[in-house]
Amino acid sequence: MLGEHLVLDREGFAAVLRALVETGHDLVGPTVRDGAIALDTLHGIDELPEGVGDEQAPGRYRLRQRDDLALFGYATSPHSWKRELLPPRVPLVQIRRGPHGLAIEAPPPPSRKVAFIGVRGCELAAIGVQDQVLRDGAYADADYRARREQVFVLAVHCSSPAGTCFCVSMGTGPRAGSGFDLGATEILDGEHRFVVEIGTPAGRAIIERVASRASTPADRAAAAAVTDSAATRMGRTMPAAGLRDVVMANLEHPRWQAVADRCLGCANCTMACPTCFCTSVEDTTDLSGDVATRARRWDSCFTDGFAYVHGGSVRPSLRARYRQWLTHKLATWHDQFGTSGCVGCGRCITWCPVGIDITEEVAAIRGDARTRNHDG
Amino acid sequence: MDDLEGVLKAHSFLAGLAPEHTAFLVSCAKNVRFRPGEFLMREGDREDTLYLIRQGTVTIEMPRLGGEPICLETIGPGDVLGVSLLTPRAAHLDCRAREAVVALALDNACMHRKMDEDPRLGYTISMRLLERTYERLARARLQHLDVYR
Amino acid sequence: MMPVVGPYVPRAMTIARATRELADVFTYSFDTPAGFAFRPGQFNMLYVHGIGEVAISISGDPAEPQRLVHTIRAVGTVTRALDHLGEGSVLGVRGPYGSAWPVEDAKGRDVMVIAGGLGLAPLRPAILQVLANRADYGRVTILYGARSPSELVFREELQRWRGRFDVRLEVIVDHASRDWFGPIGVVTKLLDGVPVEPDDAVFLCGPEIMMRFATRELEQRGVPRDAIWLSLERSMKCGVGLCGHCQLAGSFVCKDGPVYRLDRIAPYLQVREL
Repeated sequence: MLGEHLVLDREGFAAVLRALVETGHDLVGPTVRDGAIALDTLHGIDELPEGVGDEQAPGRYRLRQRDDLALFGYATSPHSWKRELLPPRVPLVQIRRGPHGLAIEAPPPPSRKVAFIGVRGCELAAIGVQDQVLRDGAYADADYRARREQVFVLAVHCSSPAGTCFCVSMGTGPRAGSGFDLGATEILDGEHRFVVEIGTPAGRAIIERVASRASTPADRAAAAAVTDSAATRMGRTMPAAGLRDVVMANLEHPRWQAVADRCLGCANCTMACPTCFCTSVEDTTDLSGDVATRARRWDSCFTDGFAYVHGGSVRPSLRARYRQWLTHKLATWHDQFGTSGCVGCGRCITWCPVGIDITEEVAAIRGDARTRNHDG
Repeated sequence: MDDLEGVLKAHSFLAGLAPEHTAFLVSCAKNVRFRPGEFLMREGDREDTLYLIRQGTVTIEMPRLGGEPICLETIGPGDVLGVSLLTPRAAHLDCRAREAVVALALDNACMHRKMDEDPRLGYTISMRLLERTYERLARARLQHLDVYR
Repeated sequence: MMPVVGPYVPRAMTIARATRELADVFTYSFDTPAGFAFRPGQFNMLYVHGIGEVAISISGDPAEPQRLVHTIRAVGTVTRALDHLGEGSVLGVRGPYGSAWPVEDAKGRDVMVIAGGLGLAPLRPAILQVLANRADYGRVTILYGARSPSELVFREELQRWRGRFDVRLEVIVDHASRDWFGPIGVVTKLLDGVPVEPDDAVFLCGPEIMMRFATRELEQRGVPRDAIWLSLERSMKCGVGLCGHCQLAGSFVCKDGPVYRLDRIAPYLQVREL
């Protein structure tokens, strides 16, 4: 039944992963690689980061050893599900030049069934944000839409927020909102178990294949306690009310220059951000020049050539480009899509080499605005 | 010319001027005609006349050695030529009638006398000249940018 | 019409006619017997094999959808590559995209079209549509400014418009020699000599500096911002609001523009480097 909560033990969770494989899904989920949690192909429960935790701060990321066997005892990975749904490079169309003109061929849409394992609330919200941009507008990105249709979401409600998390401020966590097929809370108190909510018929079909037991009120209370506790341990806050208007009213605030003086324009934030969607189209040909490929690849508004007209950039200064990123993310995204572009995952803070913290930047601009309102 | 005052009033430069002021200026004004090719002003000449163009086109040109003059701008009905009424200076450009031109010529010396006598008139004329000059400057700068390149 | 799979896949089209307008400006027209319907002001993404795509306004007659026309200046990589093509060459075409000049909505009003340089090309479809329905409009005035007499485009058409009794066409150039008998100066100078009313519907297209200057002079003459439309240009990669390049604050120029009513976009145009 949708909305029903079942309980799985560790073996039951492993069985769910196997059931997904048996029903033709590739598994993608968190695993330890190169000193970080990466989202990669999984083959089973043994590849999950058991007993691993993380420490995140502006410009800082470390894995640490937990003193338990939690499978999801860490926050966000440098990767986001954007890598699966909007891959860094996707061929769009191939054009073959021949004696009769151009033969234009689009590659077949991807038809791979994938199960995303361990999707967090902020990440699920980010997928929803990108759905609006890339799938639900007047023109849909065909590749994104095709990939999106084949995704099974096994969400995990967070237990261990990191120092840069602020999903509570953005209303996206620590509990994942609707949109998952199965939503699990990992409980380490007493028996290591998962309280799993059935979100969709597809989720039910999978969980019915494994042994589970019905949840008791105590189980559900324990699950709630995990996320309630996580909600009190946010690393940061960013009050979101009225943020759009405050940002748009401060387009010439001196803070933009101050942050630009620190910013390297490295574009890490845009690559790590799960909602950033900017891409470019790249043209390549084979050696004969007869076969041309157009491919969509990630791009970033931080690059100098991003907004180029008539031999010049529209935003030549780093200040303008930083402002563009943040005002889009927090303000004009509302005008375009009716929501914020930020889900409070904190990746941009963790992965900024100089530790720029958008919550701090926003507080500075807001704080000034509040002061000005008092004076004026 | 019979109704010089009427003709003065009708020109946009003096539009809305108080009737007593227009009447005051009449004695400085005369109606003039230029044949095609005739100069209203030449580079180096003392500018001693303010022209209010009524009909025809005047080219504003820079003469040069060994080549055709460079046309910078054309002015026509409603425009004003000789905005240096306020300071004595030599013309820095040629102004030539491209076709038959009819204009009101206002003698600078006479204008100065009138403006000294009636400071309000002086103020009004000065402000209007400034406005015309500013507009000319703004447009000249835009023209200089060569935006269609 | 060939079905299109996904918004990034172009259709192949063959250049049927190529005309040189100026040294660096050329017009290509394509036969589209099934009809390529578009609204004045819209653009296509034109693809040159192996080189890339560029957004180019459609410059043809909306009442003749069986012929698709583009007027292009060779100024960048793709447009220079386009310049090397000719009749019989095959391009990729995606579109039409973008917003349109409000030609229908302007019915019943006096219309003023102000074009600077190659800005006349995106305005041409609107002018043709207005003239094809002439009785639906009041006064029709076209003001066209170009760099010099040898850089006027659509010369024959200008003469045809000039020859009509129900249109006022004034042309001015920035530079000219003695054999030009028209006015010399910036295009806004032409505003001095024509009636300009607050009720006019004004369509404006040209270099951004020229459009800013023109809107200032129009406002000085009492034309409100909600009566002025202009066409903006921004870097475009996808043309359909998916790649993010063309954004101007909260607006995607490829979807919400390129034609904008001035009051809706003016606050953003005033912020440097936005």
